[in-house]
Amino acid sequence: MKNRIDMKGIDKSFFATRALNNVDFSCVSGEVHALVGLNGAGKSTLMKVLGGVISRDSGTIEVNGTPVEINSPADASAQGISMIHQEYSLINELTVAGNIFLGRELRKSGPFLDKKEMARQVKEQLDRFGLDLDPYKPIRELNSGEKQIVEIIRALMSDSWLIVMDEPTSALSEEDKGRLFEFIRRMKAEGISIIYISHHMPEIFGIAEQVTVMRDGQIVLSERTAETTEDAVIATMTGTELENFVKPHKEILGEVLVNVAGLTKNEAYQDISFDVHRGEILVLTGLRGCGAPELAKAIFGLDGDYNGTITYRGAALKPGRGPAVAVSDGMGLVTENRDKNGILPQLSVRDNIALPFLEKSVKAGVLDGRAIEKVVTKAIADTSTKTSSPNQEIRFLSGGNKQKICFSRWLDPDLEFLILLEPTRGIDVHAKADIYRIIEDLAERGVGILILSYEIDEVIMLADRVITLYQGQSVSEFTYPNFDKDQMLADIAGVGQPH
Amino acid sequence: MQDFGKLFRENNIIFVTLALCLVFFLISPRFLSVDNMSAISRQIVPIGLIALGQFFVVVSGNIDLSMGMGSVLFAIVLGVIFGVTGGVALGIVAVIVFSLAFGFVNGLLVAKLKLPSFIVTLAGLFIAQGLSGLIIPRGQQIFLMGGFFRFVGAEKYFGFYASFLFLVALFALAYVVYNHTRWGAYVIAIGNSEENAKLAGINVDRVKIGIFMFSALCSGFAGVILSSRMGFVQPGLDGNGLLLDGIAAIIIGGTLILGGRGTVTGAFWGLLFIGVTNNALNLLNVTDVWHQVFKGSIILAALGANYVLWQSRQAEAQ
Repeated sequence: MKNRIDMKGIDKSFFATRALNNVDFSCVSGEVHALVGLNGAGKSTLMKVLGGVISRDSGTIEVNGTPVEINSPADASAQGISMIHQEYSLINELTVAGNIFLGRELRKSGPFLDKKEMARQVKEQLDRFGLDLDPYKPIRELNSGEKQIVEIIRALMSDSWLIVMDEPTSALSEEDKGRLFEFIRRMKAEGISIIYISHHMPEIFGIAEQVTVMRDGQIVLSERTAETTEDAVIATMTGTELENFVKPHKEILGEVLVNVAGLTKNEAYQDISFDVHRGEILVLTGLRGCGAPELAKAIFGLDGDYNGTITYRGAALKPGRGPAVAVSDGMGLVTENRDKNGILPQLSVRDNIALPFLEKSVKAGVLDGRAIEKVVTKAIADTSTKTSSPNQEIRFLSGGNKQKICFSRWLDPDLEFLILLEPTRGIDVHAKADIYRIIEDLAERGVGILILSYEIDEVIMLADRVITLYQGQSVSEFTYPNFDKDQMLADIAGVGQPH
Repeated sequence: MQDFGKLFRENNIIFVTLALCLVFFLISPRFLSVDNMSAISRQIVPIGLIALGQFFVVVSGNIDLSMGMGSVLFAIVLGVIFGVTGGVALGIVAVIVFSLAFGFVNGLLVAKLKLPSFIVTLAGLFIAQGLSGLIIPRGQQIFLMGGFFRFVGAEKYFGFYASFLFLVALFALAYVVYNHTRWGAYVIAIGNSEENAKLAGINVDRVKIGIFMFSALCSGFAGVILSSRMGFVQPGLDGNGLLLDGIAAIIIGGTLILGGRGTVTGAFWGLLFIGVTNNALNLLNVTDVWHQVFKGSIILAALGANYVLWQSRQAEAQ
């Protein structure tokens, strides 16, 4: 029997922001429906509504023409809808079969698990889709591609017919990608329907029947893939209105600070070369999985397992020399995962700011409280951080203010080179503007800055130069003011790339 | 050769324990005598009961610090009921009921109030200790006389102590429950990720309460067997020493202290390791203070070796 799901006239607002505006979206058995859009276009919100994670303000959801209520993830799975997230929800120490049947185990007579029968049923499903995986293997021994397969099989075995996949290939090796696509083809043949969130144009045009583009909470294009082109999809993602942001023009006159030559790390990135000058802002952009964070780690000395050379201030850097050496050499790094790697949540704003300055604030063996106080006060003022007092515990601050504190650590006059990973991820517009200002100020001071950003508008707003990456390869380079947004998007999405 | 390497790494606690036995045997041949083996089998029973209860608690990502002083308290419950009424069966029933209730409260506080188990059971430890001293003042004791206590403390079947056979049976039961019932899978799942376990539809609170009731029940058994062997109950027993030996046994046996991983057979071998070490140090007339120092050093050496091997396995997996 053919199944279909129709979302009609879906609206959703978060306070004043209209995240979804009268959205119609359908999906039919046996088809892959690709959902595309820039960050913040409303894709995730739409899928969260479908999955019962958040409630809609208005609109209806129909399964096979009958309106249904989906108000919780349990409701969604009762309708046969499953979400496969990037963070897996598996139990590492249990086996493949143990995970798939977790919470609804098969039993022999009495309390004993029927492991054989569970494994047999899992094997049957794996065979049906031509997959080779041992049902008795513990999850911890699987790679991310295999874990994904387990998640999908689990969804299929709980009678799901609609699977939502959020950027499923971002953590996969080439081999695993091939296997996933084959799996998806077989699922289609079995009448399973898939909503496929991705930016990779070759992938989308390779496996999807329908492609829908969202922008600013609305559907701007919905076509059969056979009747549209990669370029048309890219063009609708950004629209025609060009932001009239004019970056203050500046000549990059500084000497070369960092030189990266032929950097290669097997699957992460290949043959990457670039320079960063003093006072220059170089932005690397791509999709998740493009290899930029791994590159940043190599430059900062966290990872020494690569080929090629990195030269800093004219001298070659020893691979994997560690962050302590990097910092004493005048390098800084602000990570994308602030809560995990950036801040010490139990400490106060003061202690978080002062941390990297403690070494320099020692007077006769004890910390110079007054000097620290000065640094802290200046840092809070310079970054316009909003905190009730320097004694406030940092975990109570908003994301934007936490990020500013992470920055303030590097307002050290000895800083020469700063690496920023997704500097404005998850923070509000006002804090963004403050952070852009801090970055510009640092560059003004002659600091070389390397940024990784996945947001195309931010890339264009900040960069003196842009390098686009696709699956670990550098695709193209753009120099201010010749930023061609559509071309950049096409390059990072792999349009025209051999696949 | 490679197969041997794998065998060794996966069962290293067995080899380490056997190697330890060999060392002790070389120092004192009396160590491997039938009498001494038999003595070890009896000495490890109370520790083994603590280890078994603690095993499920630790795999679930928690800890039960009240198990040691709990056994002392539950033994005193037995002693008082027996002393007042003379009824053994009544005393045992009281221990079972009282320990299950104690564990239920622990579990309830951990599961429903989301209090850290460390804190809840630390409080439980002090409360049990205080109540013990309240019921029987320090320096006093109640004697346990009669057939039942002699049976539990000294009866042998086919050359094995009844209490040791009871322990082995309980370990076998735990093995089946852990590996072949839903309950075992749920304990592992909760220890790995409570969130994901909940998402899979598991009633996490109920499993947690069950785990703490089981650990308290094990404490109750440990208290009964320990006091039967000694022939009396008194509040001055070293409950916390018992607790620490139990925890050491399961950690040596490869249970991850952070939860989510462990095997029942590993825990059993860890128990033998602790039992052998305790016994040998006594046998070699190591004085009490040095006894602890040696025990600590042996544990450190064994765990250190284990960790290095674990790392090499990780490297191999990469």
